[in-house]
Amino acid sequence: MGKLAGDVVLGIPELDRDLTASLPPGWLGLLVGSAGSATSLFAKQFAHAGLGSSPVLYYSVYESTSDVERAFHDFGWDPSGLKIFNLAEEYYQKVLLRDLEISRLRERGLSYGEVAGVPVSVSNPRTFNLTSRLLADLAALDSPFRLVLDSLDFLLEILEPEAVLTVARQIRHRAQTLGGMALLSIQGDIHERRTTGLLEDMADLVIELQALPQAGGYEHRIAVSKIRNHPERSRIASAQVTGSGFGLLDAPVGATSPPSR
Amino acid sequence: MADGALPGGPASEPPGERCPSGIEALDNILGGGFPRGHLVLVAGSVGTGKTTLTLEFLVRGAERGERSLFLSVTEASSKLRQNLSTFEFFRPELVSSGRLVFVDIPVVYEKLGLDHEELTLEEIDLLIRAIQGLVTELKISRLVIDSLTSVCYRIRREERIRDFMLKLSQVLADLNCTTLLVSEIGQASGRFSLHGVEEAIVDGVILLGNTRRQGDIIRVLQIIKMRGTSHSRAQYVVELTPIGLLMAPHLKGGRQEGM
Repeated sequence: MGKLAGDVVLGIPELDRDLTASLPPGWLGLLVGSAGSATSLFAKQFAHAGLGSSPVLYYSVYESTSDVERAFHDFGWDPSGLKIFNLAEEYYQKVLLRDLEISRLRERGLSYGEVAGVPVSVSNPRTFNLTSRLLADLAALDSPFRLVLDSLDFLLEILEPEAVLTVARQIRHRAQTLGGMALLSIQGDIHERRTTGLLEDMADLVIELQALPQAGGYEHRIAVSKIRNHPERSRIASAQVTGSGFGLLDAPVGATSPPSR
Repeated sequence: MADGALPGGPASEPPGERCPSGIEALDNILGGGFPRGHLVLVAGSVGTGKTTLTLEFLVRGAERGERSLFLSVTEASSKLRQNLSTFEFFRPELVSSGRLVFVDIPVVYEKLGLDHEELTLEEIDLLIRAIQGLVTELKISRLVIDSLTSVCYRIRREERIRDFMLKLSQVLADLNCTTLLVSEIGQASGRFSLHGVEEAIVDGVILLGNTRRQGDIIRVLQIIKMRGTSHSRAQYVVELTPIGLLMAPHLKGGRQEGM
């Protein structure tokens, strides 16, 4: 796929026409999928679609920076200009690695050499304030941006649902203020319904990905299940993943019922 | 780290003997010093000389070849060492030789991940084990915890403080480590520790205070209890001087008022 610019939203031309006409300049999108539905690839395609026209921040929780870049190259996308942050790695370094050390000291006992001359820390080094971490980056933005957070599942693993909702609200507010586009991915079938429901309610755009097993492979479907103020434009389309990413197959599957979760 | 005790140090003392504080008048009142291996509360309000007394106890012990450990909770040990250098009785080589050791308890908390606002039972045991481990590893015979109040503030519940104190007392007694626990109290609290349970478990209580005499504020010291010791309960005037803590009987003439 070549370089995309202008009012491109997702990088899938058939969907972008509707979305460009429907969404406000700044919006928050929720990308819902299950394992194997290619949400990470979809998120990358969305990120790529913004490169060259705005700063693009890509927050990964499972993939390393090099993994993200490699995936971009696999689909012929140039990741130059993409700002990739690996939240899981930061969490590992600041929390999990310390937990390992703490377990070791608790089991084997503390020796004098481990406390001798160590200065007292002002802050708790095991605290990884993910909310502050993300908001600090957002606060530094002063123009339209594109943001991907892949995925909220990790945040919901380490934070209370209310804290995750707060993060999503802050991202949405920043997007509205600066004219940014933010896409947050989440697995649709593993979290409390209340949390996913509130996230869907908050989002201006909800896209659901589904991979249905078929003889010899999977049939991919993309459901645009919510476009704020434009329910008439919701739709379900059969999709295919090719060497250049997601694309739609010919005719829409339907325009009413989203795929079941 | 220096090896063993200096001549005249504790190694030459039979077990169960006294652990001289090095503060002459205090040792005279106590019949030669604290009973070795005892846990003693040094209670007092702000500015009464608790930290100075306990530091001198450690320095005098280190001079005798006893390994001494200061566990600091409230003040960074680097700052304490700076303050200590203003006293003539302190020699830096006591620290460099490892006979006088400072450890910041917040670092112990951090290393062991004791980061709950209120320590759990498991965390309390970990803290005791850490203290036991340091005393054993460094062959410590004199220990100060400054302050017990700050430690107990994170234990909170009286029954857990009682349990903590009993275990700490047992562990340190088994190691024959004479321990002073600094207790911060209000000027008119009527007790010697944060919750009151601490003073019931320790072997001794020394009370430091301020009193007004003829317009001046003077420091006073009183031994409230010391198990296994016949001692005076009279009040003594305390003077913090560059050469150490000096004490004299508090003459009762004139009008005075506790502070």
